[in-house]
Amino acid sequence: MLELREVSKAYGEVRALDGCSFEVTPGRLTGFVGPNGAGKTTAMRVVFGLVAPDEGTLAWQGAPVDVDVRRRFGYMPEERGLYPRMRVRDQLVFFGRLSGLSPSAAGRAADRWLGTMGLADRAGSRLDDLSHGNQQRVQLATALLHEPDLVVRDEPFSGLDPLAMESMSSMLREVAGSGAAVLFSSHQLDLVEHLCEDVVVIDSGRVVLRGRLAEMRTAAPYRFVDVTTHGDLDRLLQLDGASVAARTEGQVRLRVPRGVDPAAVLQAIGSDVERVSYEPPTLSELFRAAVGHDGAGDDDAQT
Amino acid sequence: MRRPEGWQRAWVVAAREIRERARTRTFQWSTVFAVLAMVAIVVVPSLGSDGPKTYRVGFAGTVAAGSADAVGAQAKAADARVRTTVYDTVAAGEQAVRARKVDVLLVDGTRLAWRIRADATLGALVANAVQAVQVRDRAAEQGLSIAQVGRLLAPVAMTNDVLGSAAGVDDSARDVAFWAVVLLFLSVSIYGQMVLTGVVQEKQTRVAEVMLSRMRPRELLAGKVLGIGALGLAQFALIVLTAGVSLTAVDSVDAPHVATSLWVWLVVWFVLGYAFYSVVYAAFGALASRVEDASSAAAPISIVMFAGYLAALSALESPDSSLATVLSFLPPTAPMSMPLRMTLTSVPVWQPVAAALLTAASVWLLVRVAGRVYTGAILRSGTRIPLRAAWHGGTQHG
Repeated sequence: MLELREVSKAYGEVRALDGCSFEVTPGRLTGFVGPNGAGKTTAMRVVFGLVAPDEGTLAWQGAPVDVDVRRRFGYMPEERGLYPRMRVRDQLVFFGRLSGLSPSAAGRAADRWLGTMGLADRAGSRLDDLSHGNQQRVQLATALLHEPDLVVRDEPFSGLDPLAMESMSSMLREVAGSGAAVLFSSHQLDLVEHLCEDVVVIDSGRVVLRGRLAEMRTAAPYRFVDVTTHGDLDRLLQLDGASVAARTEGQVRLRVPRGVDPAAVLQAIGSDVERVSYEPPTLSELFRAAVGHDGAGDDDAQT
Repeated sequence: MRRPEGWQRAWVVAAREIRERARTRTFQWSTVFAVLAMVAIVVVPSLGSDGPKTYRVGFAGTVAAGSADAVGAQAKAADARVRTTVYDTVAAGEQAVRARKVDVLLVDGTRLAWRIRADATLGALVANAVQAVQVRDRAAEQGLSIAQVGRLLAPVAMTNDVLGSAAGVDDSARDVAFWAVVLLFLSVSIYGQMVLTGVVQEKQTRVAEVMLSRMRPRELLAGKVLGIGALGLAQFALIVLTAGVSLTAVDSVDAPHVATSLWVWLVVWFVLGYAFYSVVYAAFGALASRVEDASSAAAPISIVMFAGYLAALSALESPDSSLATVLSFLPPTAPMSMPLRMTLTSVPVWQPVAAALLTAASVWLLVRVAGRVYTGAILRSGTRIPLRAAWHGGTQHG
């Protein structure tokens, strides 16, 4: 398990990380979400020793993280992190060697991953000549080559088409399935909700929410009721503690306290109803509640 | 970097630099071009020179005994070689002149037959020989023995002394010094710039982050500088070797004599010059953030190197001046100025040794300073990292 404890990092006046604590558990996918400039990239760079924190500690399996421990990690930044003009297979072998693999082991691993990623026929191509999706695959292969215990990817899904996204998802799931701890950042909250068991939400350098997603959703003190009806909504809107989250003609998304009896809700809806759902908040809603603003207008990433 | 794994990672980086750069067209063509250019520089000037030339002289008609030997002796005294052929008939001899088999045909000891026009040197040479043979024969008629005549007519051997033009500086030595300085400047500057752009490229593409998540900054820096340096050294040594081999092959009066130790020193000075400048380039590269900004970021060091180059060239005429002597000891200029002085004047051995040690010591210091700046800057983004910030950041890593 990777643990960050009270990690802080300031760049001049800007506090990029402000007492940031979270953990990443082996065998699970952890989604790392937060508005732009919240400190996601800085936190990842701290994990890889690319940023020295001003305060706080970093531990892997209870022990401090040094270069030797980091050789069992795999990291890929958002943009590239690969040599644009270098041949794909050479590139994989090179990074494998840097992670301590012997030349022959690195060669075998490179061939195996090129096969897995469906890139065997592009082994001799320069990275530049590959499509964006294939470059992302090579990046992932580079991070996975030495079978790391911890994999960290910054925005692995950005710019991918739906098919490439699907294959990236299943690859990440496989990596976690093989026992590695996987942390990745993303702005696509639906995707994170769909993919991850654990979520860390960061805002202004502080972790505002973290844990198992399913538990966080159930633990929320409110539920959402979605109703599509031809009938009258007035009785529903007068339910104790209810507030309207969204409303269009004939449809309403209502926020109700967790204690409200679903039967009472159904009764209030009446009979002329098309569709009803009663559910805990989505990750998006938890995120908005935790961050307290929509994150817009905060685009200056201080990394 | 005290641990073997560190050096191993540095080696992986160095090996990548060598392999990737050696397979670029630019490198391959520049090597071929440099070698050809070096051959041309050495060979072309000597083509028109009157070095130890071989004259071909034919004889026909009445040939006085000992004529061929006399021509040979004259030629030897004139620092030339001669090959003689005797033809049975005048016609056969003249045919040989027309077919360019001989340069001149001596008929009956009194007529010289040329193909297009007479060569004054060769004509005089043959005429002297004929004269000598006739004098010998007449002397014999007067009763002198062959040995006496031989002594009487022994050609005087001349020694050749090249005075050169500038005070004490030999023209050909100046050519060597000039090309040595140009070659050193170009090589150090090209390979230093390679380190500069290589470092910025890794930073810009964020490859540096991926690498530094697996290794220490100093290991990456060492691998990069050593890898590019090894490639530069190979190319430089090849060019120097080409120059040495072509000079030996040309073997002309005009071709300068260059001691083997000077060739070795040139390679040593390349290594020292490259080491000095490349680590500084690496530090400046880390301070920039885009390849486009790299050259302007590194301008201070490029200017120093170029000034050193001009200063070295300006000493071509006055290698013994005190300015030239001082420059040949200062680490930034020594790699160009010291080989220049070594080529032009007799420099006591302790001087290049002391200058080399001084430069090596400054490299040792620079590796520490530049390594710290590199470490502090390589992972920081932002348009241009202030030197001071990089210096203070450099303690936190590695």
